[in-house]
Amino acid sequence: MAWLVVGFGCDLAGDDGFGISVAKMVAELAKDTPKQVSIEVMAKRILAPEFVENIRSAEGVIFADASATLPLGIVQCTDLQALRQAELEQECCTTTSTGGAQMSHQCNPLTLLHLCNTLYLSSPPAWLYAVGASNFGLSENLSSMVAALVPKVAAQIIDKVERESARSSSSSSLKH
Amino acid sequence: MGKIITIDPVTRIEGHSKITIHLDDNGEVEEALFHVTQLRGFEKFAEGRPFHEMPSLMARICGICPVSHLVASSKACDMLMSVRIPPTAEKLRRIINLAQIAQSHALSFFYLSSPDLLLGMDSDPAKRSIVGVARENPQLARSGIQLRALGQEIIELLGGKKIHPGWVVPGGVSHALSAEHRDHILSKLPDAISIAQSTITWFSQQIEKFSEEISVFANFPGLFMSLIGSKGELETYDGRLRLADDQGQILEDIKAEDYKSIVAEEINPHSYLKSPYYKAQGYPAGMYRVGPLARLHLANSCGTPKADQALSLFKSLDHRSAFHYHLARLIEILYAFEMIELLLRGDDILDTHIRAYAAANAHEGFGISEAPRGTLMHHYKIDDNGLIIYADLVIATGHNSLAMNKGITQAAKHYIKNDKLSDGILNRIEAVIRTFDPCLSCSTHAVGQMALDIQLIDASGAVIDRVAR
Repeated sequence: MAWLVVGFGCDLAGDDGFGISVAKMVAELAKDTPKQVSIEVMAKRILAPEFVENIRSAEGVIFADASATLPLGIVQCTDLQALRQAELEQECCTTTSTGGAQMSHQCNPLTLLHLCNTLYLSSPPAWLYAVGASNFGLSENLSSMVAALVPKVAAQIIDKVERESARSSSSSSLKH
Repeated sequence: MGKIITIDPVTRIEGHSKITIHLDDNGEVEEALFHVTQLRGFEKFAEGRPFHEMPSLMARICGICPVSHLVASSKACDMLMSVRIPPTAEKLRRIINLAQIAQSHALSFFYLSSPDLLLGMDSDPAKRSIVGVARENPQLARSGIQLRALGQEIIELLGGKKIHPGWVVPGGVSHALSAEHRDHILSKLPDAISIAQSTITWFSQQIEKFSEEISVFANFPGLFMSLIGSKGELETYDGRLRLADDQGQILEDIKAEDYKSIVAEEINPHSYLKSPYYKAQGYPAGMYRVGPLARLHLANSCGTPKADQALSLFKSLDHRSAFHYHLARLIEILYAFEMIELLLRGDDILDTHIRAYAAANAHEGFGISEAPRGTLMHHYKIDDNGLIIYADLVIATGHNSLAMNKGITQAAKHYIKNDKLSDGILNRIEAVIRTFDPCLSCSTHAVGQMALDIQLIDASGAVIDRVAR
């Protein structure tokens, strides 16, 4: 099974294109990863419900997105699986500003994971890399501070995938 | 002076809009208006561009139905070039247009409307979503996801990407279909056809629960318009343009390119969406409907066996109610996948003669096709250098503008009986709009909280009731 990296956002809305830029860079870096680590990359404007088909078959998922609430330039990695079910349900059912369930064809990562769990009774481990950004106006360019974080976050994601893959391999070896 | 109730934004539709409900001095609903609050200037800023850029430019109008604009625009450019495209190119264009219809209908039925249909119009709005559907009926949610995903995948395999593919070009398509992609799609179609059939069976058992909604969801006599095949069959890519009344009496049957001889447009001060109408009956009496309800009302057959079986069920219903757009959408999904299978099994589908090349040979071109929401019309004029000097689009959602306004007025008069509002009432009024599945601006994105806040304001400006979610 492959790891799935999903960068999302609108690359016509300034820093909102951060996730897309990270996904493209991860795709480049992934060419040099060890052969035993398989990474599939998706760069998407929005997260749609049908992406659960990709998520359910992934070994793990890493999302990358810009955040309007984090302080500018701060990178935060959130373990989405560690969120309690109640938080997850509340988030995916009430949050509309980040694509909650009420808009129905535009999801956030938690909604997708919850949907995956509901439909297929399991979902892979998942993390969200978010970076604080401030310029969401009409522009094809990231602000300089956010642009500088693209290679850093892409490298962190590759590193995360390699470490989690190794951990997963060693734990399955122990089981055998 | 009366009162106004505002629903802003209308949820679970494509794009952003609002509804205002106007009460008279007695507190009775006088009229309801559907406002499209965004302006799109594509016709204007296309001026000066080379005509061959138009398909890719026009596809950017929408993120949900770019293929529809791509197809209609390319057909208009074919006419500017005065070419007849190779037969295989036409079949490939038909396939991608059918995939577009299937994926868009799946989105509309399963993601946007099934929460109302499965959980109920009065259910908790926080749970009235695809997530709520997944909890209550996982198979229904999985069906929607699978059908939409397959439609999207077919578009990607043919066009190179799911959104804004540039594969359909003036003169045909840019590259041939590979045997590998054909076989891959064919391997997935039987499941999709089976899912569509099962969903039609399930939904047909639900319809009678909605008898009240059926009676007041834009249920009135009127006209229907769509493209139609040479034998009166369902047609989504080409054919003649037919206009008939709710009893099936044909009023017009013309070359599609002559649509301006029967259709005119009115501008309304409350909306950026223009209101087309049938010229012979004037404005607003010449109101007509387009889209799956109209297409199946006008067609005497689908031309595929399983969809034809389902069509007989549809024919037994009262087509004057917009509620039956839902069933029509499901039948068209079934038809789309069946027809794609038929086309893919054609002997020449892998032929590499897929594009006619020419410069501009005419100064005016029309491209008309059926988009998921109805008949889509592109009309261009160019100068001697092939540059666009005039572009005019009549989009599917626009055709339905008058019927949507009349429909929400009918529902508001039925449900709003006093000054008190409830979520269920307002959701039903929104649901009337959802039956038409208007696509207003999929390529624009709202920033910030998309809350619903409805206020009932009396003549003095005081808020006398409010519903927020």
